[in-house]
Amino acid sequence: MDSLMRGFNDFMLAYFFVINLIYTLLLVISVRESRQLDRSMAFGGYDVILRSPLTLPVSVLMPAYNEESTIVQAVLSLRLQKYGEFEIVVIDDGSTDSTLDLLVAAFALEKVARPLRLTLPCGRLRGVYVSRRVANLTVVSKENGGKADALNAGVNAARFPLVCAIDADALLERDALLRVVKPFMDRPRETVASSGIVRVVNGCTVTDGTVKAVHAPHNHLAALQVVEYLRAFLTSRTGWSRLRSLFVISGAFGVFKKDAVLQVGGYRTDTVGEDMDLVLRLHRLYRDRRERYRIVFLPDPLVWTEAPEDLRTLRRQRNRWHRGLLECLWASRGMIGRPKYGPVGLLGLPYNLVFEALGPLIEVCGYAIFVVSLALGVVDHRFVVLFFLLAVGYGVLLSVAAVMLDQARSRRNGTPRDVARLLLFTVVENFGYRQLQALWRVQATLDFLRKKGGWGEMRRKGFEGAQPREHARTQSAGG
Amino acid sequence: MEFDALTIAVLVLYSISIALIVATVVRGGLRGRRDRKHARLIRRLRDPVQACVVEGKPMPIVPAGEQDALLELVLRYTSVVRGSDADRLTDALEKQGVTARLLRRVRSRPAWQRAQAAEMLGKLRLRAAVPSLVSALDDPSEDVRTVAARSLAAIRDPAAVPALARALADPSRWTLSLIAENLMAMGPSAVPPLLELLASDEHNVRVAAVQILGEIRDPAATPALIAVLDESGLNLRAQAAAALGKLGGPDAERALLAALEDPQWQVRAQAAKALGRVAHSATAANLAEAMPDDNWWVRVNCAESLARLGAEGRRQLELLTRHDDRFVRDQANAVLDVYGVRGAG
Repeated sequence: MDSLMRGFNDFMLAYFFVINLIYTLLLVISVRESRQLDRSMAFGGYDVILRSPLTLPVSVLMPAYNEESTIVQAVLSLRLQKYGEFEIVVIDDGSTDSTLDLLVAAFALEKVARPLRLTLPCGRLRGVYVSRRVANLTVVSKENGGKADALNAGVNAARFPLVCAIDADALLERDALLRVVKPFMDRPRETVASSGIVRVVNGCTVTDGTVKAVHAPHNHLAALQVVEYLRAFLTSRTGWSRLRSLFVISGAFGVFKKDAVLQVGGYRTDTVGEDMDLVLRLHRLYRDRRERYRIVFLPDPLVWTEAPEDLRTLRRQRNRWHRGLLECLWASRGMIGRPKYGPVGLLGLPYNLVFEALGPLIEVCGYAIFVVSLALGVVDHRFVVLFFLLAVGYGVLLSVAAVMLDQARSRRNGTPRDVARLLLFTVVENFGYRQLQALWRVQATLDFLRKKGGWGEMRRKGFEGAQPREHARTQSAGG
Repeated sequence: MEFDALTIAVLVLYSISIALIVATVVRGGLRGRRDRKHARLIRRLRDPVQACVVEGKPMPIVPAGEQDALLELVLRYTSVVRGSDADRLTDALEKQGVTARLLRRVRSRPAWQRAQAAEMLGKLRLRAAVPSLVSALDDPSEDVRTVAARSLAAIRDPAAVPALARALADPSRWTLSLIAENLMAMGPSAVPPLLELLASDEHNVRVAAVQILGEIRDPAATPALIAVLDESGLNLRAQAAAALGKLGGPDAERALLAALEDPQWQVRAQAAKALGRVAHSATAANLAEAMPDDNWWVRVNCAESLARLGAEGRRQLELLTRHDDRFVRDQANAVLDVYGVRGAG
């Protein structure tokens, strides 16, 4: 028993050091990468892209399910995007409230007989509406089938070679589309997807649909999430992107080459992590074909989203995210550790499996074992206290680095009070919030296992094989 | 022993956190001070520079440390000042050695400084900078290359056209769209080297050349584009059809009408779209004839082009709503609906 405990403690220590080593490396890579990008952004030639006739037109897809409170505002603010040619496709996913009626009234929509080319399978369509007043606005009404299904319908309705998936409640920067499309203009052949940083809008001053001043939210839970988002996006995803193994493109805002989306058969409807799943299948497709491709992540705040301010909503959100991750890992298990799949298979996926998927389990076990060891007197009290301080200290360091990196780069800094508040929460999050997250994730893991009824039963729908290649290939060239 | 190491680790971690905070605060403070100093300088120089630009007074002479601020102020006016006024400004800057410093900076070590200098030279539209900028097209940094190309386009010196066209031919090192943009800005003087590029071996380059020729809209390119339409290479031919639609003219129209019967649907689709752009109502009958196609995009483009051809196009669309083929009927109806062009009858 005694040696078992000791062995476990050693394992915990080793795990702790490895994960923090990885975090440190990612932090260093991220800082370097964002400095470089900041410098070249000044010479980006965004004005050229804005007025160039060669700039690719974009179809913005906005799935909406019971969004009557925000939908009209969302469409209006989207129309203010600083971009050349783009169309807005709102997909009403069988809303039971007045989402569709409000849209019809606000934009003088009329039902038209436009046939949609059903390249991707999607739920039954109820009707296609176009606006008489607003150019390039289409509303597709369909029976409820979930976000992924709605996005598939949107891809079917999209007329342009790039599609941009956004959430109806997301707030875009004015030049978000311009910046996120730039990688496609730089390397038109290789770029298949690009995305940017998602930030928490709570507490910020928003005027006319743009974020004017960045403040720390008053709500404690939201402030904790601000720190968390900064850490996740600034110091982690930027690093992963540099290592070419990024496969998390937020569902809130991402641009894809339509051709590529069609070739992998669109979004999968049987997972809660449809955004991540799509990116993973893009990686797989291009690696299988041995073609050059790139998926870009820009460390600039491009889209703002409202963070849940109560524990229940947050818990549900996190449960969904973690289940999404597990489902994606399970669906891509064939890629893990295989050199053929490049950095994603060798770095990204294994990291996510060991530290993101199994991490919470190990963390929760760790807490339990420490308590038990303490009770049995196997370990010294002083060791436990010091180790805990070390863990907290490392967490604080990473969060502080993220907050400071943001401070150094942002041009819309809040007051020193806001910064102080965020710094306070970099410490607070280690007492309670972190543990709660781990517990929720363990719960999500159990939910995942229950739903799948054991590890063996998960069915892969595999649109790839069923999809007639010809359709997918021929679609974009003619448009 | 083990504990001591842990204690040290804990202490180190916390001190790094605190050091990070302190460093950011200090850096922010320094940056603020620098910004304030710069703003003061700008305020002081603003009126003299304005007087120089607007009233023709002599440019203020400043010490080397303030030349960057002076340059910044002058650059605010260069996009609106032309001709002899612009020459006067650049002459005044040259007398103070500002332009010479910029030209030296195009070869300085940090890449962002080279890029910045190249950008400013473009904004000054300094003819004398063309050779430096042309050699900056071979810079190892992509930023510098891009900015140099843009600046060359801004200066609009025809001497830079061959260099830009050469850049277009090396797609592995270049952002095609930016080079294309710059060549487009050069206008008709870019046409001859682009026509030469049409003979390139590289498919991408030829496609880009075709696109740019379409955007420049110089009728001199029409015969060459028609010749491309008869070659092989799917994307190339489709793009040639699109470009011919932008150029217009009777020759282009004839070639496009022939392309409506091309064996490859991509070419047919682009030809149909291009004919809508030419918007010559005499082509309505041909478009209506081409509409019953097996391919979705050919049908869509034919119908949408017909919607742009005025009364004759509308008449053809309404005839098509009674066509035998259900897909043709649907598409015709949809376009009449979507574009709200359904006639009274």
